[in-house]
Parts: sequence; C-alpha cells; structure tokens
Amino acid sequence: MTAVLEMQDVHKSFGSKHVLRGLSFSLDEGQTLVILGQSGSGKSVTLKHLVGLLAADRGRVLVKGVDMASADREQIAGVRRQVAYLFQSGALVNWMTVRENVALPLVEGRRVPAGEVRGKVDEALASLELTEAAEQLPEQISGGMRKRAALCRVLVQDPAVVLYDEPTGGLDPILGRTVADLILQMQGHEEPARRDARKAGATPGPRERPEAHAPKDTRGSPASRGPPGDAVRRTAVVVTHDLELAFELAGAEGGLIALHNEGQLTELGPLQDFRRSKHPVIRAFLDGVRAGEAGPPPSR
Amino acid sequence: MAALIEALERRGRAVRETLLAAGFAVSVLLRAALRVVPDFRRRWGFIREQLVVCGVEPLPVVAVVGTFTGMILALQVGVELAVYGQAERISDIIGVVLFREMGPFMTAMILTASVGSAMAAEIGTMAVSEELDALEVMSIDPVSFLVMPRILALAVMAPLLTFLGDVLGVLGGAIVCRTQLDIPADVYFRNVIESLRADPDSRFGLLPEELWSGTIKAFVFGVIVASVSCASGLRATGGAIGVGRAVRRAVVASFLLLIITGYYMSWAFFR
Repeated sequence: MTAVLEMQDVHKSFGSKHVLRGLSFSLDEGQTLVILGQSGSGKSVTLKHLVGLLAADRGRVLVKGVDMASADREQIAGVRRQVAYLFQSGALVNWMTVRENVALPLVEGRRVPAGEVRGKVDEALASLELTEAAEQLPEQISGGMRKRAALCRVLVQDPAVVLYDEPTGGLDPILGRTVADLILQMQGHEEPARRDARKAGATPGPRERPEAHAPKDTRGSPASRGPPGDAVRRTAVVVTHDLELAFELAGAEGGLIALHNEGQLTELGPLQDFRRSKHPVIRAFLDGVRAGEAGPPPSR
Repeated sequence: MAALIEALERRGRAVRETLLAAGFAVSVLLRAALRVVPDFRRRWGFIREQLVVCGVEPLPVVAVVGTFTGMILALQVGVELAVYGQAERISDIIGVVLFREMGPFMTAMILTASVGSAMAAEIGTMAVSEELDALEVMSIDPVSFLVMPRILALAVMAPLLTFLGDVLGVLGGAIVCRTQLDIPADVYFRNVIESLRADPDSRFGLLPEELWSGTIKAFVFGVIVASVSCASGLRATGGAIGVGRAVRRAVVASFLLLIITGYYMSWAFFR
C-alpha cells in the first residue's frame, strides 16, 4: 500500500539554523501522527513541507505518491485539493466575513457551483454553531470562535488529509476541550464524554453532551459518515502541546506519536511505547519536569 | 581589513536583495497581467472595491494638492514673469507643466503615500499572519486574488485622479492670476486652452500631447506603485516589524522608480 504521507531523510536549514536533520516518517491511509515538541523545534516547518509551502534542502517529501520537490504546479494543486491545513492562528482572511472565509476554499480553490456552496457553508457553520457569527469579521469574534471558524473551513473541504498545527494552542481549557472534541470527531474518534457515557451505560449530562459543541450529523459533512466506530478516518498529522488531545488521538486505532527533537522524530511509534520511553525530553513532557532532571538519554 | 570586507559584504547583500525585490516585482506584475482576462469577471466585486479605495479615498488630498500646486506655480513663476512684462504667459506654463509633468508626478506621490503604503501593509499583514500560506494551501493564487485587482484599480484610477488634479491646478492658478497678478480670467483660460491645443505635427496627431503624455505617464505610475507595493507586501516576513519594513521599502522604491521612469518617459515623448 502506498503511504499517504511520507518524509524521507528530510533536511532543512534557515541560514545557519539547521531545523530538520534527517526527519523521516510514513503514514498510511487513516493513520494519525501526533507530534509533540518544544516551541521552535521545527514542528510547523515539518507540516509546511507536506503542503509544499517549504521545500526540503535534502531528502524527499511524498504526498499521495507525489514528490513535492519535482511536482509541477498542477500536481501540487491536485495534492492541495486533498489536504486541509488548520493553521495555529486560524489564518482567516481578515477582511472577509466568517461565511466568506468558510466558503473560500470551495469558491476559489475547488470552483464548486455557487448554488452548492451556500448549502455546504450553511451546514458547516451550523454544525460548529457559528451561524450567528457568519456575517462578522474575524476581528469581531473571540479567539475560540476564530479557531472554530478555521476548523469549519477545514471541515467544509472534506479533505482526505488534515494537518493540524497546535489546534488548541492559546485557548482556555474549556475552549481547548471543545476544539479537541471537534478534532476527535473529525478524525472519526469517539469523544471522551460520549465514550465514557457509553461505557457507563448512562446518558451524559448537559455539559458533557457532545452535541452541545460537536459537528452535527449533516448530510455530506464528515460527521455524517456513520457512528465513530464506522467512520472513515482521515490521515492526519497533529502538532500539539495538549497532552490530553495527543493521547486520545495517538491512543486510538492507527495512532502514532513522536517527539520532535533535534530535527528528527524521536521514539516514533504507538502511544504505549512512547509512554514507556526513558528519553529525557519525553519524560520531561510526560512528567512535567525539566529535561536535565529526568536522567541521561537512553543509549542507542 | 576585516571591517572593509564586512562593509563590502553588507553592501553586496543589499544590492542582491534589491535585485531580487525588483525581479520579484516584475514577476508579480507579469503574473497579474496574465490573470486580468481570465479572472476579471470572478474578481469584479473586489476590483470595484479597490476602485473606490484607489479613486475615491485619495480624492480630497489630490484635490487640495492639485489646487495648491497650481497656485504655488502661478505665484512663483508669475511674479518672475511680471518683472519682464510677460505675466500673461503664466497660463501657458501652468497648462504645459501641470498636464505634462507635475500632475502625474504629484498624484503618483500621493497615491504612493496613501494607497501604495496601505496595499503593502494589508498584504504584508496577511503574509506575516500566515493568511497567504492559507490561500496557497487552498490552491488560491494570491496574485490573482489580491494583487491583480489592486494593480488594475490603481492603473485605472491614477489617470482619472491626475486629470482632476490638473484641472484643479489650473483653477488654483486662475485664482492667483486674478487676485495677485491682475490677469483677467478669460485671458488666462484662453491661453491655457491654447497651450493644450493639439499639434497635428506631433506624434500624438490630433490628440493634445500634454493630455495624452500625462495620461500615459499616470497609467504607468499607477501600475508601478501598485506592483511595487503589492510585491513588497508579499515578501514581508517577521511580524509587525516586517510589515513596517515592507511599507518603507514600498514607498522608497516607488518614489525612486517614479522619478526615474518619469524622466525617461518625458525624454521619450518630448526629446
């Protein structure tokens, strides 16, 4: 089976700063890779290689079999039509309303007929409870709503691959939880509230009810593809500092996790292996201590 | 010796950066030009908005500057001509100087300061806040989406604003001639119209050469200001400071290009 996303020995420098030093990974369809790492370690740089925003100095980046270094404009456009990118800041166009922002990839990128766009956008806005903010500019809404609007722009594209760059970064814990739940649903995973309620055989309380903030099951939207267990899972790379979200995504079927450290992915593998790692920086992440205090790195 | 080498390296880097910026601006202009016909209908809404931004918002400034340019010209030159008993010739000079040179140049300066700087800041802000990256990831060409409508709008509005500035300059000159130099208004306007009359022997044929050379200049100036400003914004990096640098680069480069291009166009039209 051809990998959906693959990076082979990728190197990237900015001036004298060597950010990626032989980074490699491979993801099959439906797999989710969670990347943890310190700020400034090059996590976003890795994501930008996957959509051709940055070109590797050395090594190969393959997306759906297309080599991003040798691909022509048409091929890159074809790849980008299947990939959605949730930017850390949301990256909404600041002079367009929320509705126009959500419609943008359909109207401009995919040339969907105007009649269809309206319905799809309304549906996506409603599923993320943004209908009332639809005519407002990004600067007129809160940070959490901006993040949801950006997520809505991802959702409306119905992409095969999603790249999430710190999706819960800069949000308070409640909003962070809301966005995390939305991502779990978009990735076809069961939300914690729903899962816990199912396990306990009880109905979740009003605050925990996922319907309060999760994408509603609407025709054509990703959430409509059946219950979480049966849902088609997107291939995804998630860069995050949110350990709860990281563990939920990496702990699910097809989930992988790694630490972005010194330009490479360290301890890339299933969550249980990662949790057992003795690597000092990983221990620092998991145990909340400084890297130097967690003991020497394991011998290779 | 080390200091000298370092200074040369710095200078070399600056020259390289300038050449890269110039090349990028030219490529942006060409890419935008190629998108005008295929994307015009899709972009019409945004082009209309930009026509307002480029044409209506700077209008009061152009009006004031145009009027006072004519007044200053009339006062300074008129007083000198009066010494030689040639005060009435001021109207010829005002017509020719305003329509050929001062009008297009002054208007382009105003557009650089008001519209060009705003273009560089808007696009620069989008660049540093990852909005341009987001457009690219959604397969949206930033040149077609953001740059082409701005260049087109400024290319259309610059000649119109220039014409308005010229006319108001002539009116401003009339006020000074009437109140300071005792030249009757009918004599003044008759001379202005005479000076702008078409010369059948000129390369512009039956068209008044002052008017047409000024209009062509204004069009080229509009294209230059918009292209340089948008290109500068697209290359912005490094947060708010980067946006500030992009705006400064756009304004300085536009001013230099306007004055140099203006000279060579005058040379080409009137040598």
